[in-house]
Amino acid sequence: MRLADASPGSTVRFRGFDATLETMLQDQFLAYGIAVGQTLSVLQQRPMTLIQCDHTELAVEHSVARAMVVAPA
Amino acid sequence: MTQSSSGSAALGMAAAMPAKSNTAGVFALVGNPNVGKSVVFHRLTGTYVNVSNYPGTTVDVSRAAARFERGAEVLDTPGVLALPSRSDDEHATMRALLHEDLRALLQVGDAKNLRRTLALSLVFADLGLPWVLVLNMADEARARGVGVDLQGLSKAIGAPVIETVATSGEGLQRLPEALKHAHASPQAAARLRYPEAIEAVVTQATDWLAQKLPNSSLAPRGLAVLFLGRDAEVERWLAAHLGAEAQELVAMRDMAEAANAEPISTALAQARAAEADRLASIYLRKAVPKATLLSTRVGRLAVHRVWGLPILLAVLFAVYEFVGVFGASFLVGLTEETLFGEWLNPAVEGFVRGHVPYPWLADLFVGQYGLWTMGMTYALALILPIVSTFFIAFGVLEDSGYFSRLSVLANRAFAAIGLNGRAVLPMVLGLGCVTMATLTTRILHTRRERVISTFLLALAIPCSAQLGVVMGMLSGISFSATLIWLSSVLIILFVSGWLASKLVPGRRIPLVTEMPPMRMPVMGNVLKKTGGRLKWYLIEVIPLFLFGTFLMYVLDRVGALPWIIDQAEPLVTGWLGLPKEASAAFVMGFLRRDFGATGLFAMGHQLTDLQTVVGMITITLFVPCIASVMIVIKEHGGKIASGMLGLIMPIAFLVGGIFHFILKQVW
Repeated sequence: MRLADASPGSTVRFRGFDATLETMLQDQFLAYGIAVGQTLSVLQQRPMTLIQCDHTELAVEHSVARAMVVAPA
Repeated sequence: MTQSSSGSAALGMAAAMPAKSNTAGVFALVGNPNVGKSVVFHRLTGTYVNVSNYPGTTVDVSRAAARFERGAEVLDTPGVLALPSRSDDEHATMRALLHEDLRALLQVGDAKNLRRTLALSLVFADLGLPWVLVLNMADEARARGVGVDLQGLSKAIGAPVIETVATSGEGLQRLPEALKHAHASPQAAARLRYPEAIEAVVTQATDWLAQKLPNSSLAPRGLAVLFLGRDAEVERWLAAHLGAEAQELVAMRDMAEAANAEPISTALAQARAAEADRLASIYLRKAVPKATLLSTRVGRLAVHRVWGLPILLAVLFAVYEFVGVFGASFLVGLTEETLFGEWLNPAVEGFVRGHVPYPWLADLFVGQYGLWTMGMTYALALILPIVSTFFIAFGVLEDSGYFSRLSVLANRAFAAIGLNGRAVLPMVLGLGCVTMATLTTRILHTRRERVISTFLLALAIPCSAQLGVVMGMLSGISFSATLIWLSSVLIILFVSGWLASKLVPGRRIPLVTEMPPMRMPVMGNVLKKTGGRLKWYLIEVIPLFLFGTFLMYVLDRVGALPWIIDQAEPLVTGWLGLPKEASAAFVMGFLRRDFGATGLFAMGHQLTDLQTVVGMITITLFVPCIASVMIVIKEHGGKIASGMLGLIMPIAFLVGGIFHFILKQVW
């Protein structure tokens, strides 16, 4: 499942990035603490995907959320 | 569970090694964006730098004398999301690390986001400088049930760890003592070992650098990790110090990259993230999750798909009422009509005409283009009340954390012009001061984004003074007049941006951004910022207004102003539909757009409603002020700056004329 498809209010586990997502953005997510296995709370999907990782809230554009593979936690 | 009462956790460490004490030196504040470095800087030095609730407030390095040690200095550096440095503001921090003779690093981190903080700590640990970890905003962590085992963490990372609330000063008194116990390099056990293949190339590069740069202020291992992670600033520094020999290092990295499935920068970052995760899982203490805080709820409503837009409109309306109606109408009425119009100006004019025997000299002070009756009256009676109210409203919004929410709401619109929602921040800051906002474009990731944003700032973003004048004039007509002006400027912003995105090469970067917590603005900070901005404003504006007034006076005396007015009549009267005297305002606009706008404000009674709207649209798009032009030259070079200026003035008159003809049909 892609992050962009996760329901608002759900909790998912991050599995990895599509190879299409550029390195700079992958590194940016790592800097925010989003690594493989990390649990994310999906707060909303419109107008942007909003997720919470620990106590950091991140807004992620849909094109990027579609390149993030997650699984139900 | 927090251990803030335990003081600095490393103070009891037997292995602690005293740093060089009583020696003046430079301490650098480093850390993630929006963790309170500038507040800590203010506490440690007494020097105020702008503090706001959004990432990217600090885009350049500030320096001041330390209060805690005579002769020592403290540097406030721009926040780094991660190292190696990628953006311009991160490069500025890296330059400070490379070029300053640093005595110690003070890493400021967010106490409630320990994993992120530690991922960065692991880079600093390799730099070989004494360092202290300051876990700031401990009050917010406590409110969320988060605590840290300070002593355990300190032992694990090999550096003193203290917990602070910089806004109240809590915990900062422990910092000088903690610095004395900072290690020059962590014990081997505390140093991160990367996965075998990566560690091998790190070691190889470290050994090579140790041999070539034995006296480097930063440790070879830290330089090696940053170089392998492709930090452009470190590459430049190494190339400058090693010349052609640096190619050996490049070859080392290329070989390692070819042998790895993924870029080394990613492998390094992943290893640091894993280690930060491991450390956090050991030393982070989480209590039972508390109910969602009110600030969190408000923050989420502000970007809600249904409520986000109404909240934005409500915020804009409140700003309009405070600045446009209260500031530009009520306060300006008091200062311009009563204070200056009835008291000061008649008194000054009477005094000057009574004591200066030459009419031409008296006119220089109190005539139509008099230094007092025009220059000082414009600056103090018209503009000062407007910018004061604007800066207060702006400061409240800055400190609330609302500006970051705007980037989410505006992302789709900005995608149309090849930017992402992050560009909202320089645009919004431009409403305060276009010059400062041009510097803030450094937070954008690519040169393309920076060039487009700078162009749009110079073209279509009115600064506070100009915005206040526009609001003041248009609020006197109707709210719909303000909406017409706003719509026209937005249309130009997006059409020009769309065209610029087609012309400037490069591609768009999608938005990934952090939402800082919403906070109740601290009025003391808002007023302090307002005071600082007003001081800067008066220092910059009064001399320019006086110079501009003097210029107008000279042009008028030698007959050049009437000639310019006559020559510009076809454009100003024929094309824009304004009285020919409005040409004088555009001449003034060459110095500062707000000076020009104030010129139109002053002739308000001569303008019809239609002329006022057209005049405000045209002067909004008119040439940026001299200070802005200088910054554009500094940031992008003379060629791009002249290209921008060459486009902006024709666009302003073209658009003004088009709106004149459209509005004439429908008004």
